[in-house]
Amino acid sequence: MVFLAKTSSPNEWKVVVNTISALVEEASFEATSEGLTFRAMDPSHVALVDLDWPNLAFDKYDCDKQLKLTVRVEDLVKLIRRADGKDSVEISMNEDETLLLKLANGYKRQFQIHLIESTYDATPVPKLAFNTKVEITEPTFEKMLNDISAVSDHIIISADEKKLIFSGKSDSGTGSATLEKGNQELLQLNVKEESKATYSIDYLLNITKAAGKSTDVLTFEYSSKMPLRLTFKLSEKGGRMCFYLAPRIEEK
Amino acid sequence: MNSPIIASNPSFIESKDILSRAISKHIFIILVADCKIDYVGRSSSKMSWGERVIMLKSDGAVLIHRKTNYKAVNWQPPGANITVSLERGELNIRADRRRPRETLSITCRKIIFISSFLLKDEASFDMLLSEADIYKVLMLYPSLIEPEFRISKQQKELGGGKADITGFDKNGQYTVVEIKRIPADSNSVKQLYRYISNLRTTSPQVRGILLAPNINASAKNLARSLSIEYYSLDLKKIADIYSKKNSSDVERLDKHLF
Repeated sequence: MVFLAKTSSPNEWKVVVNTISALVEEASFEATSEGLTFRAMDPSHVALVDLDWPNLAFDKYDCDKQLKLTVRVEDLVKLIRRADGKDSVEISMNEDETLLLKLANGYKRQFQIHLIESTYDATPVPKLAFNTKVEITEPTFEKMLNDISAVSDHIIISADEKKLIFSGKSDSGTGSATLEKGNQELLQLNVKEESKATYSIDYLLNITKAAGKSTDVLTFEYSSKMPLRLTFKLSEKGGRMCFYLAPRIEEK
Repeated sequence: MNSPIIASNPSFIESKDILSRAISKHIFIILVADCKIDYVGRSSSKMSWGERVIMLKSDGAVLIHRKTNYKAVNWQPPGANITVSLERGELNIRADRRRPRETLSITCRKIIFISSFLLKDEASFDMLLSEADIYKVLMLYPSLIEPEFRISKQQKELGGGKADITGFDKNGQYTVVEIKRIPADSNSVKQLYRYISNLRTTSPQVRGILLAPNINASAKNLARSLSIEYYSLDLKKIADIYSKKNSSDVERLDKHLF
């Protein structure tokens, strides 16, 4: 059984690992000849992360049969953190069915990770249609989330053909941030039907910050009172992460 | 898929094999053994031979239970490094921690029963609790802070969204409570201390309470030296109360899953 996946930089792994660690304690990656995938929901079933990392996005990829690789996220996080910006990262399967992680940039390091038995069932994919699609620069999105987080722990997103408004309210006050169509940070605003929904800022900020390390642009889609999907590229070579977040119901 | 391994009156070799395998795969283990315990760390303790139940959890936590009482008589928190060895005809299980440096050593002269198994537990735990949510629950049920705790009138007027609660304890002593949703560290202690030391210039008896799910050892020592108290915050209990209060606050993705 052969499995080897190599990237010339640790950034993609850092993004993957930072995103996953915000949600779950164990991660089951599926490796096939086509590439690596990962899907999991957090324990409260409010957030779901879906990774699709095709073989061509790697510098080197080899997998001769379908494998399920389950690791404790904490173990993987600790090791990936050891990688410097210039390190190449190679993950492969040992004969004794442990995972070998190699970091190299002149100076070589090697770590072994034990695979564990998965205690979770496979997570299905959400079936959703979205009325609003927004493509926005990551720094602006992060800024807007931070702005609203100053007054509330959840954010109300309203969109119509002309503009996108982020707002929040709590006992301590209200706040809003508006982006109009035509603004250079708003690369796309596609609204089939006016949409308004509320989401928890914490989750969104965690994912956005993690995404920011690999991409300048994110896409998010949603409909009124429905889950939101945030999508971003893992690297120029390919790979894409989707993050789904259930809406909050407004207190009357 | 999930067949437990169970062995009664196993040999040491068999036990060591089951233990090593289960530990490397992070699988739950329960054993009943005639053992003695040695603990060395900030203090030290010894317990001589007796038959006890030992649990090794998948996150490295270790618990030793005697035949009575609900509390573990000795333990290591998650993250301990567990090793098994056969020495001088006895089976030894060691759980080591680095920070702080602690070693729990269990020496077994007889294994009566051992079992390793995978536990499937996906019960949800409302992790969406923010500090503001915790604040809301404590304002409604101040006795969760301390029995007979009363919120100050001033606090009631201030409203929501803050992380501090001020009030009076059962002796009428003015008290400031700081809530943390994540484990408290020295910075949390210093933060509360800065606030309190201002108040203590005119009222030296003002109490400061830090409420957090847990606290690290150096922060705990710092708190003690600054006369700041630490109470453990039971997030699950607060989450239960909060969710009863707002049962339809957050949706789940479940109904959209294909």
